[in-house]
Parts: sequence; structure tokens; C-alpha cells
Amino acid sequence: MSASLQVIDGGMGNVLQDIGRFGRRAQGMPISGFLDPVYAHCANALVGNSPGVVCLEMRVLGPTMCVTAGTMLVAVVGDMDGKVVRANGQQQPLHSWESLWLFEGDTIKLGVIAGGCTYLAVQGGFEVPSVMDSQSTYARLGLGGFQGRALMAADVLTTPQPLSDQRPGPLKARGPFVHSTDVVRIMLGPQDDYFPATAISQLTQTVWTTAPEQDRMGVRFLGPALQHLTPQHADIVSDGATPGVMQVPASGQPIVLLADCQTVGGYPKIGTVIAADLPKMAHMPAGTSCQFAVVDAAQARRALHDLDTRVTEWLAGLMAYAPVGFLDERALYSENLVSGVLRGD
Amino acid sequence: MCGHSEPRLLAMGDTAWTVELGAHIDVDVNARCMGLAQTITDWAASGEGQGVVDVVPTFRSVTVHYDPRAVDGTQLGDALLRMAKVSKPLQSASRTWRLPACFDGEFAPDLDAVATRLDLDVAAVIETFLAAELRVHAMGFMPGFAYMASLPERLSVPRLKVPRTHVPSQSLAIAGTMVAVYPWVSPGGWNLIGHAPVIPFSLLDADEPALFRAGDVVQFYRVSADECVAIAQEQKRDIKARRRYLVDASL
Repeated sequence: MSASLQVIDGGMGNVLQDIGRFGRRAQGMPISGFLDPVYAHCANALVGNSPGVVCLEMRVLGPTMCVTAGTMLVAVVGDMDGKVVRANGQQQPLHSWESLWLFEGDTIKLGVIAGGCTYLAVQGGFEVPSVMDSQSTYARLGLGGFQGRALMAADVLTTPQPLSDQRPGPLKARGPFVHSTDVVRIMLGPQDDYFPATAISQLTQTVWTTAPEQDRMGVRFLGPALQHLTPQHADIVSDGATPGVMQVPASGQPIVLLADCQTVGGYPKIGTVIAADLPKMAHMPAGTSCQFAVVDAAQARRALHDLDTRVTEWLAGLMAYAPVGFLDERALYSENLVSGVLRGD
Repeated sequence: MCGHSEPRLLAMGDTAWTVELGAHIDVDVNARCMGLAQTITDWAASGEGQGVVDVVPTFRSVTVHYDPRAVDGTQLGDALLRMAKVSKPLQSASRTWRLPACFDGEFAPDLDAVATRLDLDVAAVIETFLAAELRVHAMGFMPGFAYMASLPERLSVPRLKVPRTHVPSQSLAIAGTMVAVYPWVSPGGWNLIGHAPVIPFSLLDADEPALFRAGDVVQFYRVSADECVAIAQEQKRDIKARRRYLVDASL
């Protein structure tokens, strides 16, 4: 028995993603997966899922969807205005950073995404086939996710009907998990020796702005043109690339590659965003300014540890709650069973 | 001996190392990359190398992607460099493909221009092309895309000045001394000289969707357009039929 969510309006570029498609890069297959695994982890935690469960990733304009069968616990994580129209016509805001029950006939309208990347998680995940060990959408080849593409009107997403009372009911975070995007830390290389010292200092001293051209393959930065050592140094024999790596083509405008990036590339790579800061790249819509700071391997390791600690602390702050202004029958029912309020004597 | 420079270890952030074995495209350097990639893959599979996620050999280097939560990157880098110093070139090809190619009419939009540019007649271009024993130096650009080297210099032509926005899938293409078969419809700037009917990437072949692996040897033979249709139908019935173009390396 599944619960179903029918898409009324697909929004723009909304795709299913999970933790990614690893182990196939030697065949040229990009990893895809969450642009921000931290926010996806938060969204999944709010509905009682493990961190890597498939979520809907929204970056521009969320979809409008109607529950056509069953009941589901959903959560939105990120900076977005949404609302719920209940089956009886009652409307309520859809708050990010907390989960809520949806019932048959309810409609969720997920609006404009302000912060660059937002996730909708549903308890149990979405039922889509695994392609090469992942449910992530790789839209360029039309594989994975929901039919390999962004959601469109009339699509029907299904999710396992939650049958177990072991799964948590609605949870609420003490506050949003905040990625500070002012400073993005990089390690130099692999081809920093293709650039003069002046280019390296320009890279770290400039306040860069993200360009409108960005997608799941990469984001371009506007600023001064970074010079290569010589014009010949603007090309390399193609070698391995990875999400976070910063390519500098002949134009001198750096591009940071993201989850859907190709596995090899022919431009020199001046530096690489460290793992702890890569999720920040998902939250830099056009016009966002940032600076790059160079760190070493030990600092990158500490930064990753610090990020993991912050995530653990955020998770520890989750609290059960009864949604305001809406009678959560299921929650009341289970509360009563536990507390024994309804007694027959 | 050329190309036997000391291996260089290049950090690609805190999730990947690129072990560089040479600066240029070179058969010997590439054979060393293949040998090293095999060594690292075996090391990871044995359980000794923890945290290795992907091993990607390219023309002149090997990129090793790792999980920084599962392994100390610095220790992994040291281990990779040690392996690079003792690793042997992969001498003989693990696999050899004999693959059909069609050079007829609409399949070969750039063939005449290539011949003109090289000051050869079309028959000579085809004959020289078919005589070449190619080797997959790297996979990339898109899933299943194999960079095959090396054509003889006398077939070397530059990329198109204006790349096509639509290259049909399974186009057989050349640029410089490289050869490729486009697995998907895509933009592309290589010269299209024919059509290769054996499918380079198919999800229906779930065990190994990509036809080629880095290190494979490839040689083409000529077929007619009608034979292309038959080959396409044969794969439609059973995608694993494409394996019959694999020649035992020992033969």
C-alpha cells in the first residue's frame, strides 16, 4: 500500500536526488546526488529517515502537489515560502524545518526558493527505481529519479504508507541549520602551478559574485579574469575532476563544478572547495558574493569534523510537537495510547 | 626512455588525489596509469585500502576519490605515491575489440572535408583509419565516452571551428590523433567520419553499461549501411550481443 502525491504544477527543475551514484566514475558516470547533503540529512531526520534517503531537491520554484491517496509525513528544509491547503479548504503556512502530516485531499504549494537549494523529504522516501545503485536524477542523460527528469504536471510520486508506529510523528527543529556563504574554503590544486602568484592572490582577495549561469553541473563566478602562466597553460591534458574543483578556462572566469559534473576535464584547476564547504555552493543563487580562503589538509579535516559536530548538535535539538492550528489526529491517537488518557473505567 | 618522470601527487581538495605520471599524451605513460589504477583498485578491493570510492585512470594520471570521513587523506596520499613508484605498466591489453564501422553517405558528414584537408582521397582515409590499432586512454566527457589514441599523424585534423550543437549518437569521430564514438546525442566539435553501430553505453546491460574500459584495444572494420541495421536489430533483441565483438586478447 502506497501513498500518492500527484503533481499539479511541476515548478522548475525539481528533481529527486539521494546520496549519489558512486563507483562508476571510471566509466565516465557523474555521481549526481544531493547538492547539499547536510540539508537533505536535516529533511530526512525530520521525517525519521536515514540521511541518504531520496528527497525532492528544489532550487528555483517548487511544485504544487496533491495527496491523492494515503497519509504521509513530510518536511521541507531550506529557505522557501510554502503553504498547505487542507482537503476541507483550510489553509496554513508550510513552515520549513518542521515536519507535518498530509492526508488525502491535502495540497502543498511549494513556492519560490530564496536560498538556492531546498529539500522536501517524505517518510519512507519516494518509490522510484534504483539505477546503477542510486535513485538520483541525472537529467542530462534522462536516468534515475522520476523518469530521469524534473517533475511535470500529472506525474504521480508514490511513497510507502507508514504502517509502523515506531516511526516518529511531527518533529520541529530549534532553528534552521545555517550555512554561512561569505567565505568558502579551498585547498590549492591540482593545477595551481599553472597560475602566477598574482592570480592566486587575486583569487583570495577578490569578493566574487555568482553568475546567473548555474546548474547542477557547476556555478560560475564573476570577478577579475585570472591569468594563466602563459596562454598555453589554459589547457591541460584532460584529467580527473570532482565536485568542488574550480576550473579556470581561457576566459579567466572560475567555475566550481557541482554534483552532475563530468568526471574528467581539460581546464586547469586552480583549487578545490573543501568537503565541509561544498554544501554552501548549493546556496549561492546568482548575485551572491563570497570570498575564497585557502586552507591546508589539516584545516580541511578539522572543518569537516566541525561541520559534522554542528549537524549532530542540530539533530539533537529536534523535538516532537503538535502542529498549531491543525488537529493532528494521528499524533493525538498515539499520545492517548501511550498516556492512557482514554480509559474505559 | 621518455615519459618516465617521477610520479607527482596532486591534491584535489580533501576528497581526491590525482597521481600524475607524465605531462603528455603518451602510450607508455598511459600504460603505467592503467597498471597503477589496477594496483589501487586491487588494494582497495582487498580491504587494505580503506575509504577509496572511485579510481579513474586518464591519459597521464590516475584520480583516486576517497571518503574523508573514512580515511586520513594524507596517509592515503602517501600510500598512493608508494604504489606509483613501484607499479608496473599494464603491458598487454586486457581486452581487444573488433568493431564495425560504416562510412557511407549521411553517416559521414565530415569525411570529404577531412580527406580534402589531408590531401588524401576518401578511400585512403578509410584504409588508414581501419589499419590503426587504437587504445582507450581515458573514459569521460560523458558516460561511456572513450578517448581512443592514437591515429597516425597523417590522419590528424583539428576540431571543427564551430562545434555542432547536435552530434548523432554512435557517430564515429576524430580530432587530432584521437578517435571516439559518441554514446549519446550531444554537442561536439569532432569530425564525424562514420557511424559505429555497436552501442557504447546501455543501461539494459546492467552489469557493465559502458562498452569500453580504459586500456581496451580497438580496431574497426568496414560494414555497409544494411549491415548496420542488422547489427542494431541484433542488439535490440539482446544487448549482450555486443560482447561478440570482443576478441580474445590472446588470439
